[in-house]
Amino acid sequence: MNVRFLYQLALRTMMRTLEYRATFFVYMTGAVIGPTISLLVWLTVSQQGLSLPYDREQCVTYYVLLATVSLLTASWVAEYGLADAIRLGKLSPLLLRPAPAILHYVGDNLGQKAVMLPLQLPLVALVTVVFHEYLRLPAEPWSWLLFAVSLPMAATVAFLLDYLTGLLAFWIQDVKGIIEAKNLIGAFLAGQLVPLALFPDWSSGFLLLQPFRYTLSFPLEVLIGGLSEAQIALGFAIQMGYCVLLWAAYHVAWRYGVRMYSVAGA
Amino acid sequence: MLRYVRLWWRFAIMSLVREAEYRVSFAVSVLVGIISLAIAVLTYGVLYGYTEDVEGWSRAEVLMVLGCFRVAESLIELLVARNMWNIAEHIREGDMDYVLVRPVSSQFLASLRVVNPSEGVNALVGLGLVVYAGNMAGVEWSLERVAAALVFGICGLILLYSVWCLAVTFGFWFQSGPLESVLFWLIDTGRYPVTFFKGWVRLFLMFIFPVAFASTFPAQALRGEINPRLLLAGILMASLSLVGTNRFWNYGVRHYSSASS
Repeated sequence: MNVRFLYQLALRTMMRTLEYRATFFVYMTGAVIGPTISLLVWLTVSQQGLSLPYDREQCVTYYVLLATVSLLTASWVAEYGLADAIRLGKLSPLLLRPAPAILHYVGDNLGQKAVMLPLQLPLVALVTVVFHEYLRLPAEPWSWLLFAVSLPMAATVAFLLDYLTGLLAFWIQDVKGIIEAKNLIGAFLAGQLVPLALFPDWSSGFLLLQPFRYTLSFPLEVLIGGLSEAQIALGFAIQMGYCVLLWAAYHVAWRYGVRMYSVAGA
Repeated sequence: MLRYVRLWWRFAIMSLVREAEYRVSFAVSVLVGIISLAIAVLTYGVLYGYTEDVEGWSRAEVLMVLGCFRVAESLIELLVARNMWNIAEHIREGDMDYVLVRPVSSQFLASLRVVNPSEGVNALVGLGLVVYAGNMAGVEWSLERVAAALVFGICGLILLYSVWCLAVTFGFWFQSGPLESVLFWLIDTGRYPVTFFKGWVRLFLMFIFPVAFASTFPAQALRGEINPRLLLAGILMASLSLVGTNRFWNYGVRHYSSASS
C-alpha cells in the first residue's frame, strides 16, 4: 500500500521536476564541475611522483564516479522543503494523509533523482572521455555487487541524517544555518572534496566511525578497491548500524517533535 | 561620479539598517563563512601532508592564495552577488521597469543596489588569513608589493564583476540566465593557485574567466613576483571589460520587453 503511494508521489515529483529540466541541467553541470576541479588538482599533485595511498588511476576513477554516486546518495529535503514546511505550517496537509509524512519526502527525493540522473550522465560521459586512459573500473562482479548493496544504504543514511536535521525546525525557529553547516562539514567528511583514503593516518579511527563516511565514501571505496575483506565487513556492519540507529532516532524525534508543531488559523 | 559614490553610500546604509533586523542570521552567515574557510584550509592540510611543495607553492603560500580568494569572493558577495541573482528575477517579473525609469545608470542601479554586510566580516577573516599566512611564508610587506597586489585584486574584482554582468545581461534575451549559476561554481577554482592547472584550463582561468587576477596574482605579487606586463594586461582587460559590459548592457536593455508595455 505504502509502496504504491510512494510510487505515485515520486511520479508526481518527476513530472514537476521535468518542467524545470533546464535549471536542473545547470545544477548538474555544477555537480560535475566541482569534482573535475578537484581531480585536476590531484592529478597535478600525483604527477610529482609522491607515494599517495591512491594511485593516479584510483584518483581519476574516484572523482569521475563522485558526481554520480553523490547524486544517487544525496538528500536535500531539509533545506528545500521540510524545515520551511514545519516553520510555515505547510506540514499540516501531509499530517492528514493516510501515510507517514516522511514518505512524501522520500518520494520527492526519488522523483528528483530520477530526472536528474539522465541529465547528468552526458556530462559524466564527457568527463569520462577526457580522462578515459586513467579510468579503471573493477572487472570482478563481486565489487559491483557490494557497491550495489552499499549504495542504497548510503542513500538511507544520508536521507535520515538530512531529515533529522530538518526536524530540528520543530524546536528551533531558523535551522537554515544549522543545515548549511551540516552540509559543509558533511561534504568534507563524506569524501566529497578529498577521498577519505588520502586523509592523514591519525584521523583514520575517527573517519571510520563518523556517519558521513557511510553516506558517500564507503560505496566508492568498495568500488575503487584498497579495502581488505575485514574492513569491508566492518564497514557494512557500521553502515547497517547507522541505518538502524538513525531510523530509531527519526521515530523518537518525530514523535516528540510533532507535539511541538503548531499552526495558527488552521 | 561623486554623485554615484554618494548614492552607493546611501544604498549601503539602507542595507545595513535592514540587516540589523536580522542579527541572528547575520551571526549565522558569518559562522557558516568561517566553517567553509576552515574546511578549505583542512583540504590543503590533507594535500600538503604528502609534500612541502606543489608546483612551487609552499603550504603557507597556498594559504595566502586562499586568503586572497576569500577576500575577493566575499567582496563580490558583499557588493554584487545579491543584485546579480535579483536581475534575472527582475527581468522575468517585469520589475526592471522600476530600475530603468530612475535617472541614473541602470547598470549601476541594477548591479550595485543591495549590499550584503555580513560578508564584510568574511572579507576581514580572509584578510587575516592573508596576513597570517604571509608572515608564515616570510613575506616582506613592502609598499610596492602591497600596492601591486591591490591593483591585481581590484582588476580581478572588476573582471569577475564584468563576466557575471555579461552573463546576466543575456537574461534580456533568454529567460532565466542559466550561465550565471555555472559561473558561481567556476569561481571555486580561484582557491587554488592557477599554476596547479595545465594547458587550456590555465589560460581559461587567466583570460576567459579571469579568477586568477583576484587570487593567484595578488598572492604572487606579495611573494615578490611582480610581472609588469601581467599588471598592465590586467589593467587593460579590466578597463576594456568595464566599457564592454556597459555597452552590452545598454544594448540588452533595448531588448527588454517590460511587463507593462
